[in-house]
Amino acid sequence: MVFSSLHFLYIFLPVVMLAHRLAPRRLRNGVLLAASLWFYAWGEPVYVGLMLFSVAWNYVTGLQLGAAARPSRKRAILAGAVAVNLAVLGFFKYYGFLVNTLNGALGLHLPDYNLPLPIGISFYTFQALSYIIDVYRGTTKPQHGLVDFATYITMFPQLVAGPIVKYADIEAQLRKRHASLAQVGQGLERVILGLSKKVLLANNLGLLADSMRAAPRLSVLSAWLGAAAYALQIYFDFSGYSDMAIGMGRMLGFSFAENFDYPYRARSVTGFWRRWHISLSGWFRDYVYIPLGGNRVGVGRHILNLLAVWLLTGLWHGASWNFVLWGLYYAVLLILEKYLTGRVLAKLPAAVARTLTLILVTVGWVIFSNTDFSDMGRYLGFLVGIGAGGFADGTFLYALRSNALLIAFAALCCGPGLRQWQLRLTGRLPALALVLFAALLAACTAYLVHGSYNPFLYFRF
Amino acid sequence: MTERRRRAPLRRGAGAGAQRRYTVVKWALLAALIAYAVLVVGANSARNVDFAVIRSAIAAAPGVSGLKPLDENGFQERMDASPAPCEGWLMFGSDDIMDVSEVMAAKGNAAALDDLESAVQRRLEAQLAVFRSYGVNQKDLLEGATVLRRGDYLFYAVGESADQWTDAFLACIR
Repeated sequence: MVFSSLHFLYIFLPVVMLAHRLAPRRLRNGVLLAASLWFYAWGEPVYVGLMLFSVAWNYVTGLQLGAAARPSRKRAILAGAVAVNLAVLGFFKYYGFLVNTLNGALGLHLPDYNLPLPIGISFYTFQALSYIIDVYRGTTKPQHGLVDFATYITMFPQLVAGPIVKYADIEAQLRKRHASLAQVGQGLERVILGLSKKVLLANNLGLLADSMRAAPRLSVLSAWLGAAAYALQIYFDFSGYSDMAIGMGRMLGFSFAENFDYPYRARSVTGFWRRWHISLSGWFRDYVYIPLGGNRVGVGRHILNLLAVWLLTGLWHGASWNFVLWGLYYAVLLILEKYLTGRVLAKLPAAVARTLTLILVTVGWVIFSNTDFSDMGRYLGFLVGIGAGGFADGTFLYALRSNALLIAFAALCCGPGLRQWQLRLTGRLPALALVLFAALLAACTAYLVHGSYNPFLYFRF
Repeated sequence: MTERRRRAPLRRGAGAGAQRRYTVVKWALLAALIAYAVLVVGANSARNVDFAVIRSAIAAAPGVSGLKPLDENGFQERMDASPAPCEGWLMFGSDDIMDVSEVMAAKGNAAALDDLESAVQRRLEAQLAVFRSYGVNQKDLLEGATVLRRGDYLFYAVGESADQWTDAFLACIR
């Protein structure tokens, strides 16, 4: 079930919110757990078993760590539990990738089982890992209630596409939470905003990006227009989903941390990664980068740490070599910023620094979106005029004219201005804000009823 | 009081006894995981059969005789993709533009099947865009389309008899 579908918006969500609200407090986690399992089973009935294994395994591990006295015993428990979590993730997500790589490189004939990817496995596995590592470190106590723990792992608002929520951040809310009507209203506003980003902006930008990608030959400007459209699509797609997750969490009484902070306003690649998928970069920082020594080591070791973290970040995003290349691309940029270009970037005017960062990020998205290296190379070539059909052409002018309003509005939505205006409107003229949100919801509904193009890019994780 | 009641039974008796219980439970969970993985892999794998067997089975399935077998050009025109990289393939479709019935099967490596699977998704989206507004029956059939990946095989079917075509295909590869 996807958030941007009619049966989710008009059947599942109202029923679950009502049931959660009406349920006695001590049963609310049970209601939420049941709803989350129903949500997951709707699209992936077979893989509910895998998610339940993750719940059971990490629940028992948490208790085991809490009861272990000796540090060596705790280390062994943690190592074993992490290994199993990563083995499950590795097998169900990366087995085909590994087998095809070995078959291609070594001429083997290892069987590829073509296992469908369990939706959300990267998100709930990382969430579970953060829990057991925090229990090991002593920064959080083990959760003794199985239902409460299962609710944390399976919670449908952030199960399939994040944000990755640390257990410590919502532990108190799992025990006791309440959403006032005002908070429910705020949450619903956020859900509608996220839905609008996804359905009205991302889906239409996706049509433009796909039309450019399908063309056998592009002019330079057409290629940049297509790449920019994809960059906007993935931002609104993913941030829209995060908005919906945060909004639904608010309606249930949870407070999830923000996952995006207007990343296309960043003045450097370092700054971009402090604003994009914040929960994931935070996870890698806390559980990989800092334990490796972070930047408190020599230059050589620091560079290796960055390479390791970004190799893993790239792999996390997908079982394909282009994601590895994408991760390494960012590793190189971040290393260059840290040791060479950072000071220069800091002195540049904001507009110049932002433009340079946008160009680098957009090129990164071309790597990200092309699993075929020859297609990737071809498209990257178009961006700089290699093999391109001229600098500008009729395709570019037509696409620009047809999508000018969409692109302009999307660019406006990349900054905080429109959201700040909406918050002021909600505060000063709530009735008008209500009409605005009702109109947005109606527009999204009409679009979902009529349209068939409704992909979600981050579902592959 | 609430906290004590909510403690899981495993929690009582911390120490060596509790650790042993946890270890036993975890070994049982691992055994269940391995059994589960074997079942999932088994459900997604396929016997390696001669593609001619699949071709015969699908051609003999109810309703297929009313469809036209497509050659490579016809396949390419309909699916906007070439079946050439596949070891074997077949496709039957209707000449009636209002009839969305079609069935396709292909055998090949992962890359070839990935491309074809993408073509199938594009085909379904395009057909839905055509029929969504005025073809209720066609829309329902397209939304209920079967797309299966098993081992080295890809299967796609849309139509009133899609279930029977699917059964015919699965019977060959199980």
